[in-house]
Amino acid sequence: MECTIYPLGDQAAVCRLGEAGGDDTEKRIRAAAERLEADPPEWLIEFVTSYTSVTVYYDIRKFRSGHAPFDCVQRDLQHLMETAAPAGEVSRRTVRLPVLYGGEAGPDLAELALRKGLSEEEVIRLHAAGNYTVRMIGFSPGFPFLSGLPPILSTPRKETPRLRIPARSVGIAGGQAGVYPMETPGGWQLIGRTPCELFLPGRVPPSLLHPGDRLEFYPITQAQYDEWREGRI
Amino acid sequence: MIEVLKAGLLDTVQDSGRSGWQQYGVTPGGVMDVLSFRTANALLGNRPDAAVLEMTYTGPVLKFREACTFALCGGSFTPFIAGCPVPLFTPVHVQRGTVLTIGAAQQGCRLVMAVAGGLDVQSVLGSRSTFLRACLGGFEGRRLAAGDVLPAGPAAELLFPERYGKVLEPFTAAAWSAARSLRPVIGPAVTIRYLRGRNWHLFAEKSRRSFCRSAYRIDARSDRMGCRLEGAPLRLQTPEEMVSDAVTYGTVQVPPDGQPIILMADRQTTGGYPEIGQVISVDQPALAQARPGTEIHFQETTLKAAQQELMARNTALAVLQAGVRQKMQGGGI
Repeated sequence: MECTIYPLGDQAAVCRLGEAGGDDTEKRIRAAAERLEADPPEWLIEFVTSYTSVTVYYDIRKFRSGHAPFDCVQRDLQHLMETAAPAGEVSRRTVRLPVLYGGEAGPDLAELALRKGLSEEEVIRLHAAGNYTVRMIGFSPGFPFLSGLPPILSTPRKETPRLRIPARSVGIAGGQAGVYPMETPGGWQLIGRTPCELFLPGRVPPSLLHPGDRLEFYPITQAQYDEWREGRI
Repeated sequence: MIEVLKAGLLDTVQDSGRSGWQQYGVTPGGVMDVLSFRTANALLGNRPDAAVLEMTYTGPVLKFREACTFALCGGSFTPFIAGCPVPLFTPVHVQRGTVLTIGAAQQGCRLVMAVAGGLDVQSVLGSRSTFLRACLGGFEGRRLAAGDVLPAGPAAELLFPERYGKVLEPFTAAAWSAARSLRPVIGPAVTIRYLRGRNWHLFAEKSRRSFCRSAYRIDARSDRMGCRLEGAPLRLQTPEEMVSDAVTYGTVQVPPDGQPIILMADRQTTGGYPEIGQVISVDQPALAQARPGTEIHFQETTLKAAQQELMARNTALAVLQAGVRQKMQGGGI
């Protein structure tokens, strides 16, 4: 696989595999991630995948003096990318996430529907029909950056961000869809709330969602939401 | 066992941070001043990543419920035991019941206290660091408060065996201390070396010049997440939105107001602002010690030079560690 490798400071490196938009780039990144998981170089501490790249963090103590660590990392990554399975199908999970849409759970749904000239039900149907992929997890633990929002639902961030977005809110910002695992300030348009915890500190890994997952939202009722939260589901 | 009689401004248990979970958005965290952290642990013959107490601006008053050997490294704090000043950058042994008052920093802002054997709080996701935003890890996921008792791990060997036990002063300190090169740079103005950031070429020529020629000041809003700077605003040649990507300690981001922020220990794992530079690892401790008002002068350097310095520092730490261990085997410090 073609890639461009450059340093991120003196203890990390970025391996860029394509432009942000493409599905193609996403597949290449998943292939690179699988390769790094399967056969991690000795210097590798961990890696993070994003829309365009794989970033590796390396342990400089693994290099003997006299050797330029970045050059070794670059060479090893180049070799790894050359031998990584190209755009073949990589194994990925599909996660179905229940969402209580609208009302108090999604305070911006009504206005968003109005702006689009759609009914709230149509907005819900469109949002739930999207084919989402987790492109990156960042911003806060377990927070998924998703691609796949139906373009018609694209809405700019709120002019005045909220000081507190309730944990597990499902939102839209520009052409991006996301879910907030923890309460934080933020400017996203909130259309619903999931009863599922996304950040799982007691678990390994500590995130419900993994980079590369396919994600499907589906609507639930208030009663079902309450059952989830009470642990009866 | 170390009891907190009076808490400092921000005392948290830290180690080298959480690794392996950044791809799930878990902040690496860990100590702000990695050099002081490593030096303190090396001085005690500890594992390099043994958990320590990181203190900020004004430290706590601590009571040692058992005899203990510790080392204090970092900014110029003025710790006292029974009216006697306690030296920094050297192992210090105290008897049970000793009260240590850390005091305030005269220069610099953070102090690390390592104890022989490390602080023995529970490890969460592979680290004993405190992740304050998620109330996770360290001591109950929070800063220390009066009444808290910190457990210390078993020390591998006694650093101060019984024949030093008869103390004449309120504490016993080793006759030697860590070299200058293993102490962080502190002062009213510091030079911080950087590598060009991934978006360096997107910045206006004037901004690139401002970055490396004008001085920036540390702003009071700086914290464990980032060092906020105040100075000549930096602008892109053409405004454009960045796609969020992974970042690291020392990433210099420029938000819309043009005032750079240097990402530190408790940073988010990804960032969406343009990046003008990367502070090199060996200059990060100076940032961790820079108080608000400190003048920062950025100086470009090469990756090769940065890595050579980093490796040299690691070698010096390994030498210190080996030297201390040898002394321990030879009957004590």
